[in-house]
Amino acid sequence: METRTILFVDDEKNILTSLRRGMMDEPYNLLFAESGKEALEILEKNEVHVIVTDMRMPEMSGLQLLKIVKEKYPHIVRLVLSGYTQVSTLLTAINQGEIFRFITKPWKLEDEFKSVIVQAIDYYNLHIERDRLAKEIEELKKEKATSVS
Amino acid sequence: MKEMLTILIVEDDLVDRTQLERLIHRSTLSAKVTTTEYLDGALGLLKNNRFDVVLLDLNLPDSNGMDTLITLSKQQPGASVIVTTGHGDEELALKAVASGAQDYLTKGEFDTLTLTKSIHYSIERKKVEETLRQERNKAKKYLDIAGVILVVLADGKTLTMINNKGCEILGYSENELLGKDWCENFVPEKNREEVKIMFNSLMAGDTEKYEYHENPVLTKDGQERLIAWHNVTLWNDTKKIYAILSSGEDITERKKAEDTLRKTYQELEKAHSDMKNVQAQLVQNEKLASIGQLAAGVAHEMNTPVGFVASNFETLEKYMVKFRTLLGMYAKLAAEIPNIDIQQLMVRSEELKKASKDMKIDFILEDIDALFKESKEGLSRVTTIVQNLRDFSRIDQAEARDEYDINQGITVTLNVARNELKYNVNVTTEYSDVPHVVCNASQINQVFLNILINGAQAIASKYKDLKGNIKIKTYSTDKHVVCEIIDDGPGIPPGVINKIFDPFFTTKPVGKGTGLGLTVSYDIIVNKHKGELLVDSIVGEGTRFMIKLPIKPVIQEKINDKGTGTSVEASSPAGDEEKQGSAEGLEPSELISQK
Repeated sequence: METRTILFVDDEKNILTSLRRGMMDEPYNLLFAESGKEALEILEKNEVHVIVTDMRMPEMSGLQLLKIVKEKYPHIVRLVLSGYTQVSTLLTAINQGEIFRFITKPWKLEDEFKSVIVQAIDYYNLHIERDRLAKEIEELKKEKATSVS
Repeated sequence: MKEMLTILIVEDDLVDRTQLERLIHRSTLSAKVTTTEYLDGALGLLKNNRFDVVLLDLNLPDSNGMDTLITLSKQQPGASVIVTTGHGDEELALKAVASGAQDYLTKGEFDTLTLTKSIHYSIERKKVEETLRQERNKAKKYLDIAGVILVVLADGKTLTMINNKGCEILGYSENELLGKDWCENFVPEKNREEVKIMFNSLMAGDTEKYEYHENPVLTKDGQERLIAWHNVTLWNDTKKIYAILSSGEDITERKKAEDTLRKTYQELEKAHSDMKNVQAQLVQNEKLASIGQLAAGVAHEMNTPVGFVASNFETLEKYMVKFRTLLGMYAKLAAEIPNIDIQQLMVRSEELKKASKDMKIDFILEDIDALFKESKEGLSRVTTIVQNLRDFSRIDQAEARDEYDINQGITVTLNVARNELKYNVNVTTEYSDVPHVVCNASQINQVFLNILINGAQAIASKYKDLKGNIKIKTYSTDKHVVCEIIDDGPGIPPGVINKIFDPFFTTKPVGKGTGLGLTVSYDIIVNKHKGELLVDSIVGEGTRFMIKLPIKPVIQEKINDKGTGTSVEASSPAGDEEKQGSAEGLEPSELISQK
């Protein structure tokens, strides 16, 4: 199976570097962006499978970014990594951004963070597999239809 | 001409009657004499005619003894009565005199002169008695119309006099009362012993101690009335106390009213203190609310560095595992070196290189310095946040008043609020060298925070994604150190600006604001520090808050002291002239100095 790509977005550079070194032994391609704008640029040029973003960022908030991602790249699995844990913020994020998981800062790298990433990748793979199977069925149906006629 | 006396002789004995008539005629008296043999006749005559003197035989065919006198006296009380008795009836005669007759004569033992004298004497005596009676009636009337109870207790026990008011309160007639033992009959049992002791003391001359007392009386219908008594003792000629005169005022209703009043007052006082508690609670809540608002921001600010430091720490553990593994391999090889040949050594060296590469040791060695550097930075950020919070709230001296540098106060407040502000506000400060003021730093910082966060929220509502501006200026005047906080948010509509200091007034959605932030701020600046808190605003352009703190310390407790000589300027909230935007000569157009 091809290597999956994860994009991390946070306006705090130290968060990104800590994630880079924490994930260095994992079998993923890692991409990093320091703003929503930069993230969208990266998305245009790279195939990304999972996105992990902070919520509170200047100019474009994580929520705004995720709304765009959902619209333009609906297959990308969306995750939030945020220290802003007011219930209202969480609810908005989950309801509007339709996010897969909400991880709070500070996070546990081994016990929590990595396993959530694995779940997200699995989720993505399952979707791809489902789409592939659905397509196969469609083709089989078509074949059958032609052979019958 | 001498006025003619009218004399009525009531005598059934013809001899005695004639004798009397004869003696009167012989005397110097100028008199008109009427006679009758029966009491009935006498009563008829007395009914229609006025008589100066009645010469009365007590034993008549239709009446006997004292009754004769009593019945006759009632018919014409103004007539003087001389009783005529038989020999040896002196006792009866004296009794008659005691019961209202003016004199007596013993039949057969008086002559013209004696009779004349007796008639004169009895007329005069009657007059004197009448005057006395009138005086007494007058006195009685006075007693009766008095608003207080008056009683005389002979020997401190027996009721010998009581006025109308007393009868009225007790519910008895005077006759029912007179001669009764006061304590046994009219003092409730529970108070009886106490009252007896008091009367005994009074009788013994201890008048000072019991001049006043409050005690209930027992009325005819079994009710108790509370009476406030004043006591004096009555002395006889031999300088001995013989009675107590007490005047008493019925204070039952007054006491009840007083009790009700006291109860009402206590209830009011309780309500007041409850309200104060609620208010204190509300103020505390407001403080917590604005701290809570901050806390979310501060939590984010803290969670970020703690997040990457904790993550780095876990990574560092993994690095250490790798280092140990590699070191173990090196140690093993070092131990084996004496026993292996060069060929094997080369193989082992390749193994080591591969392991090192697999574990990305080169990257780790390069990264580990950065890891430490970034983690240290994260920790110092947390330290700074904690320090800022401490500076802001001055936890250790919450109620103290101290020298305060307003510029520094704004700086520490901004340190704490920065995270809340940084996403939608550019803050610029324009500090002047201002004198220190004596105040409670934590309270003043609270005010700065309230106004800054209000401003930031207002700006957020106006600009959505763009940033707004808050400008903070400090300067001093003769009397005040002034801080202006100017935002270019949406402004406050004229209809609302009067209400912004009112408790619970808020334009924020339910659950977002307590509506107490500015109320508390106003209380802190104006009431607690005798400063001024002014606001002016132009819709669409922005709002300016002006906080003025007196340079000379004004301690709240000393305000009412005449001697302090400190002049105080405390403005009304949103004082009208300031609200119109003309405070300190600043025109509304100058309000927003930057966009």
